[in-house]
Amino acid sequence: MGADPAAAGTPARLAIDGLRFRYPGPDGFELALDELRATAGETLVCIGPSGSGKTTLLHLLAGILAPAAGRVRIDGDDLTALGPAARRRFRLQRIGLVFQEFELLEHLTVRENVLLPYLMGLGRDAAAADRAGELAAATGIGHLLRRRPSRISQGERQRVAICRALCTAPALVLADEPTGNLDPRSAGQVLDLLLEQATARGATVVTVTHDHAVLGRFDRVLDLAQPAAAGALR
Amino acid sequence: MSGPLLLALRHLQHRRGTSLLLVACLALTGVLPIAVQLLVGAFSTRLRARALATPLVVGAPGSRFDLVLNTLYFRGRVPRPLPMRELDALIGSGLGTPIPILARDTAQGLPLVGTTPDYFAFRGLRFAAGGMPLAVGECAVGAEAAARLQLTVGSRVISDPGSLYAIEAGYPLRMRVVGVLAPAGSVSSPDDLAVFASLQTVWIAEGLGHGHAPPAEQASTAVLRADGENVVLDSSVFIYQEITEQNAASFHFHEDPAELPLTGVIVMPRDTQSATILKGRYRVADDAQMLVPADVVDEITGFVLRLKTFFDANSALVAVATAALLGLVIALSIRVRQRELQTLERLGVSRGAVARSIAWEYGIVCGLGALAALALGLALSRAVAVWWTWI
Repeated sequence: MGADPAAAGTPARLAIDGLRFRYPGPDGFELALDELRATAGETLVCIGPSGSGKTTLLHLLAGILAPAAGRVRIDGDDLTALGPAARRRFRLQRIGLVFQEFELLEHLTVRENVLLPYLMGLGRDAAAADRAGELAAATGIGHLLRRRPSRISQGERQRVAICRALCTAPALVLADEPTGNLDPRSAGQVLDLLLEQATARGATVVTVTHDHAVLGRFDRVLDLAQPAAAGALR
Repeated sequence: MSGPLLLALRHLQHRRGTSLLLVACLALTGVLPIAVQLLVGAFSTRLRARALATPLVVGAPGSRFDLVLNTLYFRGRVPRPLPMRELDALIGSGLGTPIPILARDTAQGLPLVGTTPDYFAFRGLRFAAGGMPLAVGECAVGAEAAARLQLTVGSRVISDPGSLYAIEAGYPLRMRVVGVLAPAGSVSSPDDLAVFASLQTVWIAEGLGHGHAPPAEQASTAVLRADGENVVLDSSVFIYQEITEQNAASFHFHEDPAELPLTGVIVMPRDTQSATILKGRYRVADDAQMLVPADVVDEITGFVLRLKTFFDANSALVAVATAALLGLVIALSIRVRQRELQTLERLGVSRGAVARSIAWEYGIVCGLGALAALALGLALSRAVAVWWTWI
């Protein structure tokens, strides 16, 4: 895969070099990405058929998986040089994640779900609580903060997940099929909201999707089915 | 409140039914061992405390357990009575102060205890109202007995007839309450639930003495036989059922006073040497035995504690089984919550924080289960202790 010419000369928020990953076993899938740069506030969408490694790439960027070789740097910090515990901590502080199934905790209120990273590791923070309130208001769920996820709609659930991902003011937001569980109308709204709120806060967004109708909303498309063209600016 | 604790509480609230069921299971597992522990502890302490406060007991030969339980706790029956002459012999020895006890009958379902005023001083019993039953036909009642039968000074208590078909047994005797005892202590004592009267009163209640109009005033048909001073009357003679100032003089005993029965005698030896002499005398006696109540009670509690050892072993096995089941429940719960835990991991939550949250959750469940078991065990032991009021 080639370098990203569009990012050349701009301070890279996300920098990938010589990334190699292979699942164990004789038929294990292999992912290779030589170079990728993304700047603050830039939005990338990763497409490709099932099994092409989209989710694996997100997991490598999040530090959930450790690569066999290569480096992933976020604001200059080498994620691949960290041990498992440090990678978790880094992820909690600097990376926001949005999942297809929202992955909200049903026993917590909307507000507690948004503040989950603080409750479970980053510690109580008044500024974070204010930020959670602002994000909820900006995404239109300000009136739902006391409700449980089971009492709100699918679209509202994904907004809660977006607020949770952005609450820590992350450098990088990784979204895995964030609209896969939503109807087309809600999908467009939620995606716009994610990109708008993330870029407004200077976060780089990497999204994985199957939905080619939404590609136009992103700055760049990374097609894992065409390695030669991967990383090319569209 | 820490985040892991908040998450644990929220999860417990969310799965309220399951959490309560788990707490209830743990509580039910723990309630019986706790109740038994408390009961056996209370049983041993109270039994022993009263035994330690009673230096020596004399009674007819037979079961030492029956003699001690009857003389100290007014429970059960002694197989044979002890004649009054044994009390006279003890008084004559000058080696201690004997307090006679006659406790084999009941009055309105409560132990009827014949004794002397020395007993009240010996047990340190105080009167909440009235005073000692000094005259024949009078009685004093324990605090709980008074409460249970709603008795006050001036009330009447009726002795229970021994048997419906025992025609030689006495008629029920109406006894006048002249004293109500204050509670004997913070915990229930046998004295709280007894009716105390003089030995003469209890003998009359047992049918060993009676009062009726003089033979000269009886109809001639009632006189079966007249032999000097002894007049045999038939059952048509009216027997007084309450002893009053007017009829008190008519009460009499036909039996030899030295043979009138006692169930036991509490002996307070003058000193250690006197105790040793008394023990020596009774060791060789055929018609009476002397016991140290503390030794007998130690034997009884020894049996109980030995039985409790088996119960404790069973409780330990149940505890191990419960712990294993709880472990299984936690393992299954973690499996069911795999997705939630995976989400926390993917967000970057440390394994320690996740473990703390789970530990809080099951710690709270176990804590609540233990507290509930303790509360229920305490309540159960109290309920049983009230049932066995004398313990």
